[in-house]
Amino acid sequence: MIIDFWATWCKPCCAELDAINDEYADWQKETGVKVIAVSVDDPRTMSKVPSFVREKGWDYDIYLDPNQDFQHAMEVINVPCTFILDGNGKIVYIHNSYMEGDEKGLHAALLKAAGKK
Amino acid sequence: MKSTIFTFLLLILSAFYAGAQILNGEGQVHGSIEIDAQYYKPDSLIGAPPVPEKILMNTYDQLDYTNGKISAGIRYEAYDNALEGYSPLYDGSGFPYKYIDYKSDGMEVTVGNFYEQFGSGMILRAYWSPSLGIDNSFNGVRVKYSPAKGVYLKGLIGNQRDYWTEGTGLVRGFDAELNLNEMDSAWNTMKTKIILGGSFVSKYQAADDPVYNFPENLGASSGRLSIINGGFSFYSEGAYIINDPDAINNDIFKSGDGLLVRAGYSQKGISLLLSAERIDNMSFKSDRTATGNDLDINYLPALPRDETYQLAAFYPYNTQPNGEEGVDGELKFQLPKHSLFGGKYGTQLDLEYSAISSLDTTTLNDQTTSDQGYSSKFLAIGQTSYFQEMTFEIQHKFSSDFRMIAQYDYEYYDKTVVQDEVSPNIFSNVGVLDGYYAISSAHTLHMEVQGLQTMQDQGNWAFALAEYNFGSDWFVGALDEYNYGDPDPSLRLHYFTVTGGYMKNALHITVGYGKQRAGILCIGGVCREIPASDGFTLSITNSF
Repeated sequence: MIIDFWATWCKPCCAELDAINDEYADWQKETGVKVIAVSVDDPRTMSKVPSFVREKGWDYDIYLDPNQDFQHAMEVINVPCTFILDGNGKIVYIHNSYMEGDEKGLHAALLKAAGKK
Repeated sequence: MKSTIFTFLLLILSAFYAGAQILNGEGQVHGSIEIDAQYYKPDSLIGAPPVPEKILMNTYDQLDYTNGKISAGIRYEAYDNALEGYSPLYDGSGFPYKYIDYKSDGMEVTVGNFYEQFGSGMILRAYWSPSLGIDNSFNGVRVKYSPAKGVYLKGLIGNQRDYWTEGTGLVRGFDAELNLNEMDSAWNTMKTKIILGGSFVSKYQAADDPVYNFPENLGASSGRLSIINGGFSFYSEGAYIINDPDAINNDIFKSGDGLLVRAGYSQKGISLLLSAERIDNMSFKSDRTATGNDLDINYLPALPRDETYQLAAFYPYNTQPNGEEGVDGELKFQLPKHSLFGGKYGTQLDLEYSAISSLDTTTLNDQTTSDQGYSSKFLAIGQTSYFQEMTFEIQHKFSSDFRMIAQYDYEYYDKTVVQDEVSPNIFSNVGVLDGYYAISSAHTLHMEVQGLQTMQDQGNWAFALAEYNFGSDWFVGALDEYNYGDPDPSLRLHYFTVTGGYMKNALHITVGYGKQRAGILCIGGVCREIPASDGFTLSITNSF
């Protein structure tokens, strides 16, 4: 399972989720992974999230965390922040930023977590 | 002697064992560390004052423990002394945030410090934002309870954090939310999703003012409705605050009201979102003498978009709690993949317009109306425009290695009202070009050029940034902001900054040297707000 903290105003976050979305169908076939995208949009932008996601065509499970309760519980300081949880719910990967091509590292970590590599 | 020690150890161990049994399971410890330090150099040209301490540091360090139904946590904060841009009232250190939380069978009880939000926050929102220097957490008790499917109740009581002390005002709040589709099995399968909510918040603050007869107990209420049907969405929230004289509204006894309406349609590849809001005398603080962001009980969402580019965020809008009316429209559109202009990955277009203006008000005679201050017409738009912005953005991915964003932004800004600083009204045009190029899997280049053109204020600005990530963990960057159009030629200054850093998993270390303006900054793909500075900076964040 991938948990990705993002926000509509965060350009690197959206670039990362776009990049994952391009590969998502393949990754699901390979590893059965599920992506949960947690929006940390505050009350100012949270009601934009549903239409934002629909327009993007993201196939993720989207959760809202408008008062950052889950973000604080996961000790996330900045977005984007990406976690991989293995089959036992253990965090095996944390990445805190996004640059072009980072999704390749994420994919490699995902294969490792799924025991495919 | 030996046996005493043995008994003692045994007691501790058995206590530990008993504790472990109650908690019934393996406990988990999580935490995070954030350290921001800066060495300051005075620079009279850019207006950086001498800092007597030379070095300042803020740190926020959190530890949370979860075991079964129980969780507990504590946060240490130190401001030795508070970084420039933060209130000196933060100077010092301590544990401002401690909580114990128990969750069981649809009920959750939190004692100690907690954050909370009712609806969109128009009458209650306690939150923590270290980059903004805001922490209006409650110290008290909160109970959440779900008596039936789809019914969510919350109640709380507490005082709010005020730097290292607590506000004297006592806040009591209750919120109920009904998710109709969850409540009834027949509704469950319906395409239309409806959520209803309502809140009531009251505050108590002793009053002994010799002139005014301030109300000691006063209340605020709000109602909200959310309807989603396929691609259509509708959200509205209305709020009302009973007469609440305070330092923000100049102690007038008028009631406050607020309304937010948002409606949209979206499907894959297109979305349209229209919003409107009205805020009239909505300042709501747990201390009637508090100013600025201190002791806010509520939060007033602003309509305009959050600009992330340095120069587009040069004149950011700030909600006016005493009164404003606004509209916002946003159209997003994707040129599909493999179409004429879509290319292999598609092209994203985004058009947004916001306008905020004053309320249409009539000043009243305070003597005859018992300090009502003014009256306002509900749907009439006031004479003064506070803010207008039109943004056009286009994003295109040329290949899996190369992506560009272009943005144009037109803005009208009433700086006198928004920043409370006497200034002519500002008209500005901003252009941005932003590119990302992955040279190889471990080498990425990010470049930005931006220009801001205006005839007012400090005149034209130019901005350039280059950032290079290598070895997947390291980055170096340089940026320059140049005020080449300042009306005073001696103030046509460069703000040059170099940065470097290391990031691995959750660890993030950044060092920088140079001059910066206040604003939101994205380095290494991470965004945060940074105050104005001149000198060396060091930032370390980590979590486990």
